[in-house]
Amino acid sequence: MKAVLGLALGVLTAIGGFVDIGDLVTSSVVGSRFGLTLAWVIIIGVVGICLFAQMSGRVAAISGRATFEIIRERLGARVGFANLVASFLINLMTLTAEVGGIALSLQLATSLQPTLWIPVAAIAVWLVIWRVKFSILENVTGLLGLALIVFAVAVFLLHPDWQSLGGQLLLQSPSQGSETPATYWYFAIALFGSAMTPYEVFFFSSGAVEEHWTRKDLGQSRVNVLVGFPLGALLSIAISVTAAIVLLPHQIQVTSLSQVLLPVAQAGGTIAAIVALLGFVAATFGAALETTLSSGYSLAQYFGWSWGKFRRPAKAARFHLTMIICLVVGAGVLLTGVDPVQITEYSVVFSAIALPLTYLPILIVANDRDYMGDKVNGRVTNFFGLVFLVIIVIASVAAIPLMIISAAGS
Amino acid sequence: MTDPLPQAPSVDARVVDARLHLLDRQVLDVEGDPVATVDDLEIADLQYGERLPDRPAPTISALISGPILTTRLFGGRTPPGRLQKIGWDLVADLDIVFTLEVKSESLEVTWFERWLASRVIGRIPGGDHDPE
Amino acid sequence: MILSELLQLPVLDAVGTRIGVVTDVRFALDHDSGDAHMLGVLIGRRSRATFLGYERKTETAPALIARFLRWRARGSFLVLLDDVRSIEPDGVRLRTDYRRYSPELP
Repeated sequence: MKAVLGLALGVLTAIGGFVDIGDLVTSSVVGSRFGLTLAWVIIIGVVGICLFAQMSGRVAAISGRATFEIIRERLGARVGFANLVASFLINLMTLTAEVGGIALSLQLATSLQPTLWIPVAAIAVWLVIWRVKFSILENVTGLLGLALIVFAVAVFLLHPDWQSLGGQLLLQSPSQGSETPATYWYFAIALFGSAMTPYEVFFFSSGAVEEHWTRKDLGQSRVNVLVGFPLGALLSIAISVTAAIVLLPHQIQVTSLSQVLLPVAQAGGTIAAIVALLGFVAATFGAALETTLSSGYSLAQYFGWSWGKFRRPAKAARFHLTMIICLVVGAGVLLTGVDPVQITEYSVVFSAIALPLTYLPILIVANDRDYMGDKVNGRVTNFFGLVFLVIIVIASVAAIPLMIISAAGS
Repeated sequence: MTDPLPQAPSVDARVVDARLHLLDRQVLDVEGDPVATVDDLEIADLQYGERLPDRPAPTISALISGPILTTRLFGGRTPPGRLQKIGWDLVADLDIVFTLEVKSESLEVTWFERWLASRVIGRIPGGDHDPE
Repeated sequence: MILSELLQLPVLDAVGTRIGVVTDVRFALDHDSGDAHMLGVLIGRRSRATFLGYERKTETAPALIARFLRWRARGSFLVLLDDVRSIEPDGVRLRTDYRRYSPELP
């Protein structure tokens, strides 16, 4: 059991990257429109995030420095600030969406209006951050999020045509050419950007500091990364597959969270749907915790404030005030009635700035002997690190034009 | 290609470059709690004008943090009265971070943190307890 | 004076020709007292030339980034404090016989 709990940081981090509210819907949309022809993007994304999360975890364990401290140190005040603004906006938009996502999930479970659930969700997130120890927070949300495995089970219960699914994996388009290339690539970049979204490394590296990882824990960091992120990716692909099996043949376009549930309900009935709903609540709640904490981490680390849940709130006052303000702003925005899922779509724009400016400093510091001693990157890691930096830059440059051409995939 | 430049005369001291090794670094207090980030450095015995030979070399007299950051980000000048300094003599150690020999609470740069802690965050129930 | 007033200042030689900008300032940390004495200024063709400092360190990985940044920082050099004639708000002037040293850190 202890070994399983030791993986919670990786699992919780991955939930925020792969199955948060935006991804729950996007995975299903992609499955219902493109089948499995975009699954390769998620696989590339998971390799990339594993590579850089492991680097950031190693830097945190060896030097005690979390990612945004490194960004400021290596890029300087100005460029670091540009990244801070972009990353902070991504955090804030995503955290707003997640609070909305908790409310939507609870609405599905209780059929009470989401406006009633929004303040409840925001206060619950704050209470957990205010009072609950980091280890309990990550273990509970990480474990409950695993309820989403029901989507993987549903794939088998649906008795799909495996050959056709395999064909889709190999890019044989299932649709009759109704989607344009711009739309296809827009979704490819959105999936890649969300797999590698920067708050994952902020959270993972800061979590490593919260848990006081040292040189001894490098093995644990590696297992966390290698189990957590592929698991997140698997859940995301499973959601896509269920949509591809059930919704794609009927040309059903996913527009809401309840439609994401349809295939599971068809495969396993009410009980499966209830388990999936539990997974939704846990995953959105976990992602809300991850993004709220990340907004505090990034700001505090840039400005050098005291931070961390291992300190009592009064010992990290500005850190806690930042998170309170973010939650109030997020809840306020949601009460105006915006669609939480749509908010996450626009964070892709800011990823274009934040992604390269986050991953370059990690790669540089992971090679710096002043920080890392003998634990610097090997040649293979550096090779793949550079390859991914190039992919990230290409994706960043292409993101905004594709968003405009494809009208955000609509 | 030009000839490689000669190495500078060696000195019996640890050599650092301000922007590379000092600026934008984290400052920790004696107990390891974060205090601030180095936003700028104050250099004593360095003024505008001719440099006379045989004058003592200028030295770093303080780390500066706080409002000066807006100047670095957006340009302009910070009035000297608003500079929040940490004297260089308080620095106990320097590796990839600065470590001070005093507690964070005793420093002017943390006034806002202390004010927030006592007036706002500390007054919310549970604010002064360890998380459970 | 504060550091950021010195950084980015144009550097002129004795006859007033612009030879670069101040990219960094080098200090020696005394082992015993911990005092930081100014040794000299680093001069580059443009202020962003020293980004990440690869031209001054022995670090060479990741190789492609290191090589690119060294190439961008080509032509940077160190001038010792004694070769600085004056510091004005609009620029740093060097003495006639100033010497250029390698920017590498010892």
